[in-house]
Amino acid sequence: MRILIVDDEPDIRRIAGLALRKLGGHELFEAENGMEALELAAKHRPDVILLDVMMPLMDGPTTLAALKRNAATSAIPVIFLTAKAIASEVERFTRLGAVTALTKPFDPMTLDRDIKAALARA
Amino acid sequence: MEMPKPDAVDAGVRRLPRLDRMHSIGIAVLAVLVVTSQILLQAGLAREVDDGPFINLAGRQRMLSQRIAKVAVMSRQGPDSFTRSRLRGELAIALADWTRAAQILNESAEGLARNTSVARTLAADLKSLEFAQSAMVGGTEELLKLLSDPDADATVLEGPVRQILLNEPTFLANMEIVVRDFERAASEHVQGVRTLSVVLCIAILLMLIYQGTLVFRPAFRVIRDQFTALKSELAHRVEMEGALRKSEEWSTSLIGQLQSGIAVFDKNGYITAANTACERMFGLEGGNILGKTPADLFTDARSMGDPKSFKDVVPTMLSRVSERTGHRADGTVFPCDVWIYEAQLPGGTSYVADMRDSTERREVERLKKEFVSTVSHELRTPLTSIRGSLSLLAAGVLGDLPGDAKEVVDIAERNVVRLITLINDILDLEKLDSGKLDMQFAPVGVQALMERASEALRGFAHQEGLSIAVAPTDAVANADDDRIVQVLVNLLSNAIKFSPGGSTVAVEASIVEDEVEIRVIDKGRGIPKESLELIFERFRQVDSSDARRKGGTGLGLAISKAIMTQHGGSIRVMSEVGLGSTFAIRMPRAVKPLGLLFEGDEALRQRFETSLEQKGYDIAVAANPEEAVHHLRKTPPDVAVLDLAADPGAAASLLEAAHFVQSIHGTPLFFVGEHILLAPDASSRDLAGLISGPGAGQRIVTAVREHGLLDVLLVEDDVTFAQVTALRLAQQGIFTRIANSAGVAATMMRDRLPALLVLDIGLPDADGFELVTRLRRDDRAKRLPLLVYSGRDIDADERDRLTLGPTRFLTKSRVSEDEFTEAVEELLGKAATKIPANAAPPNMFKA
Repeated sequence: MRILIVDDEPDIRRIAGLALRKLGGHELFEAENGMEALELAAKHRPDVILLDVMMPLMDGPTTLAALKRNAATSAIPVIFLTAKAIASEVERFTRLGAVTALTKPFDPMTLDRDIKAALARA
Repeated sequence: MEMPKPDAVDAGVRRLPRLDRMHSIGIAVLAVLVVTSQILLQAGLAREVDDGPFINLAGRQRMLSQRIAKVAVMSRQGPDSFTRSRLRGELAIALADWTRAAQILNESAEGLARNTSVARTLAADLKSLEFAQSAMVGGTEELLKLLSDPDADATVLEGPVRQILLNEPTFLANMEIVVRDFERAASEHVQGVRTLSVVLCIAILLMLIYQGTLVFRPAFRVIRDQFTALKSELAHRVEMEGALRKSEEWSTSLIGQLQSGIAVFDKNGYITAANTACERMFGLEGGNILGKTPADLFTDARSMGDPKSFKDVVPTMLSRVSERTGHRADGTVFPCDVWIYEAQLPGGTSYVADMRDSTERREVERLKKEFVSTVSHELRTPLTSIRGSLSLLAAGVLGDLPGDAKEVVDIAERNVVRLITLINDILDLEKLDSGKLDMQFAPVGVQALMERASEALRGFAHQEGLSIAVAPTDAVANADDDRIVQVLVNLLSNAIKFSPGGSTVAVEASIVEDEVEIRVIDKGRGIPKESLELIFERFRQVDSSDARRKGGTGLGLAISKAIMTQHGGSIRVMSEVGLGSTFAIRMPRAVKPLGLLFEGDEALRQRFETSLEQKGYDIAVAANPEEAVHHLRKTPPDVAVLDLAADPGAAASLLEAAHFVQSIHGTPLFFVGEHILLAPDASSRDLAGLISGPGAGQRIVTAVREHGLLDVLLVEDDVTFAQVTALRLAQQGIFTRIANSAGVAATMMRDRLPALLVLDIGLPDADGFELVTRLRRDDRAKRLPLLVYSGRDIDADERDRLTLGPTRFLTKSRVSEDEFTEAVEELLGKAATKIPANAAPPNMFKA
């Protein structure tokens, strides 16, 4: 799969990237914020986008709405990565159009499996 | 002083009328006795006085008889004519006197009581006397006659003289007897009178005693008791009044010093009393607050300004905190928590409002929320990197590590996981404590909860060489399923940690009165008695080395307890050292909600059935429309799926029955193509997601997937018209909810706002104007697109009152179906940015 990971923390991008590349053999694109994400998503058309919630410049929900508005990116499934593990938050994200939300800190060993499971459910 | 018991006093009071009656009778008897005795005594004395003349008469009679006898003796000696005439005169006088006296004497004797033995004796005496007397009288009269005859000589005279003299001693003797008897009779009479008077005196005395002992004493006692009671009552009152005054002073000063504002509203909504804090809160010092209404105090209570609406609104606000915006006299506003309760005060039913300026509380809440959010974000972000790095290293993804290094990385990974769990637990507990953890209570099948929890831990159990046995149950609890699973996972993981390998951890449930109890039973080492109470406290583990050896944060049971408390349930533990422990949680039991299915498509019906079963519904399947209608009317279900296409002829009656259920229970009614869904909003969406047959239903599902849930709420009391409209919109892929009254519409909008509101003006409960006025007060609803679709034309003034967000006005008879549909689509277009048809399917219908 081609996966776009959007997070303002380079460490997290690196860890998730390592895990997904090494364990799942996926191709990874990294974006530091929402603006960059929109650009990369339109350019590379990834199979799934992992989207952080709190980011400078453009936060996760805004990015999602923008992705959905653009015909080129609106079909790409989005999975949120959130540090707030509250059930009502997850529900809010799914209502916005995300497939699901994975909570931080995530387990890199199961990240690949979790993403596949979420996409299968959707 | 001993106070007579109140009931004794009452009994005394009840005795008074009887005593009064007894007293009156006594007085009457006394009066009769006194009068009688007076009469009798007077009569007796009067008779005694009569004795005198009788005795005198008797004496005189004796004297006269002796004189007659003397004249008779003198007549023997042959008297001359002169002497004869003297004797004759003397004799005539004596005889006349004597005869008269005898008559009086007889009368007197007869006057005595006739029936006494004395009277009878006296009568006999008198008879004897009369015999002697008449002989004497006869002699005397003869003598008188002879004496007037000069020829009569002594020899002639001797006859009458002898008659007189012979009878005189008899007469005297008899007179003696008569006098004696008469005196005896008189004395007996006197004796009788005396006895009578004594008897009367005794009777009067007895009556006086009767009055004294039976009337006056008890009456006095009653009066004394009453007086005593009154006196102590008075003392008690004085004491009470003192206490009352003190308590009143105390509560007045207490209320006066309270930081909460307290205001008393009368039943019409006018303030009749308020404390200082309340006056200060609203800037209405110096009594200016009196007579104000809620509309004067709160910007968002305008509707409570007049008595009628106050009476309507206030019952809905009782006994819960409502958050309002307070309005000070100077025009500034502040957030205010208001608690209203009903009180029966001297002036009638009143409402007491306890108000607190919540500016500070809200600020603290905001800071706390921000803090929690920051902590959770700021701690979790670096931990994500640490944990990720360590996991990758430890798993050898980045190449094998030398032995010691691998060991150290393993330690680091284990501990970072512990740290993460700890942070999660602390945040959970914080949210639970502040009541910020929103729980979604719904009926849930307990079996499913137990299965989910045991499934989550099966791997761990296997790793420890244990098994988990879940006993079947059909109990349904009213609970937040995720939270109960969290508790069960926690209890199960404890049970697994402390159980010996090869044993089984059992999970079972049962119904105990109104609650469901779930028990997690292990055969582990057990918990010592002295620790049983402590284990539910934070950071308490039976053995302090447990945290290190067994993992765990020491917060699990505290969190479980908090979760159960929020459920209105409980958690407890029974344990015996060496034998094992049983943890039991209890939560309210739920009655299984009822689902009704009438579905022509067999496959579709099975999908509905499975979906509803998973949600804990009891399901009734109707074989034909008649059965469905009967069911709807007799036992209205919580959820119903009704297939209108299965029997088009019966669609109208199904619709009518569904309409009936909506009217009674306010259950939202949905049209999805050929289906009516009668269900709470959330379930309706899930159920709508299951419909994927051909036709309008499929188009709606596709449309919802493409555009998100762009739905129309149709407020229309003509249900047939509503159905026609809904079906027409369904053809365009528009999802319609129907409310048949303003009340149902308001309820449905509270749950979720529609993308467009289509509103009829004339409604059964409140008209469209009222509904719009209400919606304008809501920040979100006031921008809602609105299509006023009414039977009559709306004038300019009315249009102003009916405007929300983008608003259009159509008159039912003037527009074509297409014009209506176009208007709906146009307004929906304004409601949200249209998303192109090839957009990714959002998981809106995730079951």
